[in-house]
Amino acid sequence: MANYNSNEFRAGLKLILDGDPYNIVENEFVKPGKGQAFNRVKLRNLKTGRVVDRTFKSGESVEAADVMDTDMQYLYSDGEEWHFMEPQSFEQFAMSKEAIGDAAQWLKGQEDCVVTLLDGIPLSVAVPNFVELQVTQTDPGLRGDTAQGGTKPATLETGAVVKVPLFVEESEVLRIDTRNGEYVSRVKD
Amino acid sequence: MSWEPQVTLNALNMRAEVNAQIRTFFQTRNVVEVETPILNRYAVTDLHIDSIATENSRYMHTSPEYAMKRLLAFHKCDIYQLCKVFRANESGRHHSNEFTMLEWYRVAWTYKDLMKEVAEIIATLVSDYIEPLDVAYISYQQIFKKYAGIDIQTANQADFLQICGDHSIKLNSALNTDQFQDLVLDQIIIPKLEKRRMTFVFDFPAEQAALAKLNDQNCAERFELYFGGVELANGFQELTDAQKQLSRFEEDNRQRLLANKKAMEIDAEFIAALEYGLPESAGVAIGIDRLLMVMLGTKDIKNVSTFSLD
Repeated sequence: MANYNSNEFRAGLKLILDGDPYNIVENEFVKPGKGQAFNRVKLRNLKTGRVVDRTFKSGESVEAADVMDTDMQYLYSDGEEWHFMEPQSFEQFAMSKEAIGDAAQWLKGQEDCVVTLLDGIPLSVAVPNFVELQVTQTDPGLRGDTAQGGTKPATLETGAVVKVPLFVEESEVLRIDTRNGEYVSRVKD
Repeated sequence: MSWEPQVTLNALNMRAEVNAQIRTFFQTRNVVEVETPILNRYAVTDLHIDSIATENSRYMHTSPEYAMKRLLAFHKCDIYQLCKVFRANESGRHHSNEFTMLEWYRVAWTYKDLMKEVAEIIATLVSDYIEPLDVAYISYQQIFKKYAGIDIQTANQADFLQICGDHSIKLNSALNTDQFQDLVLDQIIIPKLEKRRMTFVFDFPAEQAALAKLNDQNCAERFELYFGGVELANGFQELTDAQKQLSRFEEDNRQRLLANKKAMEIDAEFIAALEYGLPESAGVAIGIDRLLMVMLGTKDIKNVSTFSLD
């Protein structure tokens, strides 16, 4: 496993601390007078998302994290694992329930995603910013209701539940912003 | 990569004024300006400083100290130099691999006399931009007691870990006492100092003597100046004993090897100058870029430099 010297630290560098993969968010070089230099570093835990501070002696060696972001296509899920394929090599990767997290609710099949691999194992996934999903269940809106505001819940074909305007009906295809889980518009053929 | 300078016209003018005022200050005091070579046969042995090597087996100076002391030994007169100095592996908001140093030596002065002159020149240089509150003098031991609640004579690992913890400093590995002191001074104590006050810290631990004399209490007759939240100057009662200096350089090299660094050949001409006889004197070096940062009110040294490689 490769190592990084603290001299090489910069934002974006990924390393292993206490057994977890971290991404350097900020790196500050400090050095008093003729004394020992230090790196005061802010890091984000790539598993938990938590941001921590750590001070390193200059010249300290830290294990590099074998982290890679790869373009992949979502294939299918059996409820236990989510399967992705790397389009150049056709290699398939299975992502666990913990790793896929909330992203699962936006995927129905064929979406182009960016999968983060740690030591060759899927750690997390970035789904497209916008997806188009069909409404499978929602209460009918009141006829002639054109009032602004007023939303109702709608269940989409993936099982995701989003708030939609009252005029949205079942079997309509909606455009959803996956970054905030919000209804954007109806998709007209 | 863009071609434009990263410095404003205001900052350019500021540096030009400071340079002119430095020259006037020393001219009226009969301190002679000198220029010593940037390229040297030797690197420095300092544990924490890495000299930049050039292709034809030369080293760029990390400070003009040794050359100026050789001048001092021979001509025995007050001298100053305003020049670029170079250090590898130093890059950050307050550090640059290449920076400007003002260094001078006063024959027959004590380091306490020199602190007063440093206060005078700083006050002169910043006068159009900042009105310093006042000047304070405090010993290394006292400043640790006052701002970190630590007695450096008796403090142990646990005490240092505690103070770091209290200030949300989480360490990745164990530190020795010197390293803890460096970290606490730089990251805990200095930020607490009043920015508009010139704070001189003097009488350092013997381990941090560098090229300063040790007094009867085994303290290094060394001082540093903090102003505007940064370390601006480092001064000594110059060590004149050639044998003691040689021993320190040899110890430096032992420390370098322990830290997996290369040992550096000791500057024989510098030692020879000490053997010939350095007059009793005090010397100091000021980081001019840092001073400009304080005057400009900027947090990044890049803003006072025309161009930067980083």
